[in-house]
Amino acid sequence: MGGYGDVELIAKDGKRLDGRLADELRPITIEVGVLPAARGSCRMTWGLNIAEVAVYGPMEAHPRKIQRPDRAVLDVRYNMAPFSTSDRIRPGYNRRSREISKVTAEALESIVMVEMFPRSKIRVEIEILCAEAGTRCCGITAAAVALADAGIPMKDMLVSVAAGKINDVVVLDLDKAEDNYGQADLPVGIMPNTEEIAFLQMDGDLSPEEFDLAMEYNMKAAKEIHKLQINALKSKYDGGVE
Amino acid sequence: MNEVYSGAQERLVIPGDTIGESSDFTAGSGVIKIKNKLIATQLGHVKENNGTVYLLACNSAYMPRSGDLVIGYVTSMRGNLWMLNIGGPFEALLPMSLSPWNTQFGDLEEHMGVGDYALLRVQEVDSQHGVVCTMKGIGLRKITTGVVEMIGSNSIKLFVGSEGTNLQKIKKYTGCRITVAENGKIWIEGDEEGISKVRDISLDFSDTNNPYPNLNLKKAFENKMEEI
Amino acid sequence: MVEIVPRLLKDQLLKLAEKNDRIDGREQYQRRNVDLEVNVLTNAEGSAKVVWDGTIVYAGVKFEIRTPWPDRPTEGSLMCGAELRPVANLKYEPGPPSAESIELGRVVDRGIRESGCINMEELCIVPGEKVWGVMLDIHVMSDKGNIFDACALAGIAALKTAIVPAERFDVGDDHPLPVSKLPIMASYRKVGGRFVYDPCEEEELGGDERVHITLGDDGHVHSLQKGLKGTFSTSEFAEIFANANEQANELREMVEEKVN
Repeated sequence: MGGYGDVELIAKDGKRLDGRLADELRPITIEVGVLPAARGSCRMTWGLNIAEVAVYGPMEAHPRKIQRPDRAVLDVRYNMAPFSTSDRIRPGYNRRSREISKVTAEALESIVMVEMFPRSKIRVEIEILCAEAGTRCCGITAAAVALADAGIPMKDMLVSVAAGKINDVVVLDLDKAEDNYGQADLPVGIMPNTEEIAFLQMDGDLSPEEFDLAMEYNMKAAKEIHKLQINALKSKYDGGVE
Repeated sequence: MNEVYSGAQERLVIPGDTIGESSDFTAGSGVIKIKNKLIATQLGHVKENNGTVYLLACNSAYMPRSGDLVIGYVTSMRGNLWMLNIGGPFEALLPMSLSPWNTQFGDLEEHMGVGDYALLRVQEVDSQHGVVCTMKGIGLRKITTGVVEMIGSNSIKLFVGSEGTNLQKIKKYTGCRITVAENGKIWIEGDEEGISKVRDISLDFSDTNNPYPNLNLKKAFENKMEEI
Repeated sequence: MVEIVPRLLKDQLLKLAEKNDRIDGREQYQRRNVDLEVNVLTNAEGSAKVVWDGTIVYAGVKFEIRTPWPDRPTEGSLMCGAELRPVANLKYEPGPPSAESIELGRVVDRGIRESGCINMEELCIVPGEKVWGVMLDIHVMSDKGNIFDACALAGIAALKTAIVPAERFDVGDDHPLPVSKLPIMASYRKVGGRFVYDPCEEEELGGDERVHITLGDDGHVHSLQKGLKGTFSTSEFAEIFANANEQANELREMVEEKVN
C-alpha cells in the first residue's frame, strides 16, 4: 500500500475512477485448454491482467528429497514476464515471486486431493503476461481451472479475489491506481461451495467492521467468478451447449 | 436422492459440484462423500451403477492398474531389470524373471535396449505407485514392426466403440492389425497405405498431449466412422 | 529431462522419408498454419503473439534510458532475450536458463541485430549522455515444435509495432520505433536423411541436426546456426538456402499486412 490517502479515487457520486461501484469487479474472461503442450491449461483476463497457466503431471517428484511418501507435492511457479509491467522485470526468481509461488502452492494443496498420488508432483506454471494489480488472485483462480482441465481430482474449486480500502471506503477488486494509493488490500482464496478459506493475505489498515465488509464483498465476488469457472470448463467439453 | 439418479445420467459436473444427497448411494471413482453429500472431484459425467455413483472423467491421467495391457518403451536398464515409460506418473519395472527370454544377468540389451517398444501387462501396482510389468503371456512381446500412436487413455472408449464396433470397422477399412492398450497407445501393423489411413483417423486424438474427447471431437470421429 | 527417442519412431520417420512423406502429412517444405497478432499486451510498448500450430510465443518490447558506451556516444542499444520456461513443455525443467534457452535467445538476437533493421544512431537522445535501450523479451508458452521461427517472427513483429515512450520519460513526443527491415528466420531439420522445413514435435524428437537461416528483405543472409549432432553437404545446404528465401518472403508479407 502506497498510503497516499489524499489521492481522489472515488468521485462524489460514489463511483471509482474507472466508473465501477464499490462492490463491482473488473471485467473477467476465462478460457480453457489454450496451451496445446500442457495437460491442462487456462487463460484468464481480469481487467488488464493476463495470466496463462499450464499444468503438467502427476509425475515422479524430482529431486527425490521433495518426495512425500503419503501425498503429492504441488510444484507451483508464479512468474511475471519481463514485459508484463511498466518497468521491465529482470527474468528469474525474486523474493516476491517466490513468496507468491509458495502461498499459491499451499492454497492449491488444500483443494487438490494430493493423498491420491504419493511420491508424485504436479507442476503448475503461472505466467503473468500483463500485470495491473491483483495478479496473484488472477493466477490462483486460473490455476484452479487449469488443474480441473488437467483432470486432477479436487475437493472444490478455488477462487481468489481481493477487497481493499481507498479514501476510507471499502471496495472490491483494486485496480492499479487504487492499489498504489489505497489504504488496504485483502486478497483471499475461497472454496466456492464450502465457503472455506484456503488463502489469505492482507496489508494496510482495516477496522474490524471494514474487515467484515471486505470479506462480505470477497465472498459475493467469489460466487460470481465461480460461475465463470464453471462455464469455461463446461464449454470446453460441449462448446457451451447446455 | 432421486435427483441424483434421475437427472444424473450424462450430467456434466466440475470439481466441488454437489451431485446429490443420500445415504443410499456410495461414492465411486471421481466422487467423494462428505456428510451424506456426494461431491464431484473432476470434470466429467455422472453415472450410477448398483448404488454406486461415479464419474466418467473427461480427462484423467493414466494410472496403471494390475491387469492392464500397456505399450511402453525402455528408458534405462539395470543388471537384471528394464525400466519402461508406460505413460503413468512413474516408470514401470520389467524384471528379468518376467521377460520371455532366458537371459543372463547383464545381458539384457541383447533382447531389448533403450528406445525399444514392448507390449506388456501390468502385473502389480503397490500403494506407492511402484509398477511391475510382465511380458509372459499370450501376445506380449517386443514391438519391432509397425507404428505406435498415442490416442490418450480418455479416448479409448470412443475409439473402440461399443462392443468394439468402431475398432472392427477401422481394421476392416485399413486392413491393419490394431492393438489398443489401456494406457492410450495403439500399435498399428500393416502395409504403409493402411497405416497412414489409421493415422488419419487417429490424428484428431493425438492432436494434443492427452486431449479429452469433447463433443466436437466425438462428432468429427462419428462422421469419419460413417464415411468408411 | 533426458528425452528417449523410441526406435520405432526413427524407423517410421525413415520409411516416410523414403517416399518424401512427413509424419503429419505435410510436404517437405510445407509450413504449418501460422497466426500472428500484434499489440496484444497493454504494458509492453510493442508486442506480438504467434500461434504456430501448437507452438505459442509472446514477444514484448520495453524501453529504458541509459548512458551510452564511452566509445559509441551516439548509439543506443538493443537487447534480445528468449526464455524457455517450464510452462512451455514437460521436457523443460525449472532452474537457471539452460544452454538451449540461451542459444535460442542469441540466435534470434543475431538475426535481428545483424539485419540492421534498427539504426542505433536513431536511438540517441543526447550524445554522450542519454540513449534509448531497447529490450525485446520473448516468452515461449507452448512448444509443439519449431520455437526458433516462432520466436524470431514474434520478435520482429513486436519491434515493428513498438512505440518509443518519450513522453513518459520527458524527452519529447512518443513516436514509432524506426524499424527499416524485416529479418525472417527459416528453420530446417534433418529427418530420415533429408531436410524438412518447420519440424513438428515428433520430427524434432526423432530427427538429427537443425539449421536456422535468417534472411533480410533483399535476400541477404544475416544469421546462420547449425545445432545438434549431425552433418550435411554443401548441396543440401544450397537447397534449403534457396527454399528459405521463399518461406521468408511469405512470412514477411504476413508481418507487413498485420503491422500496417
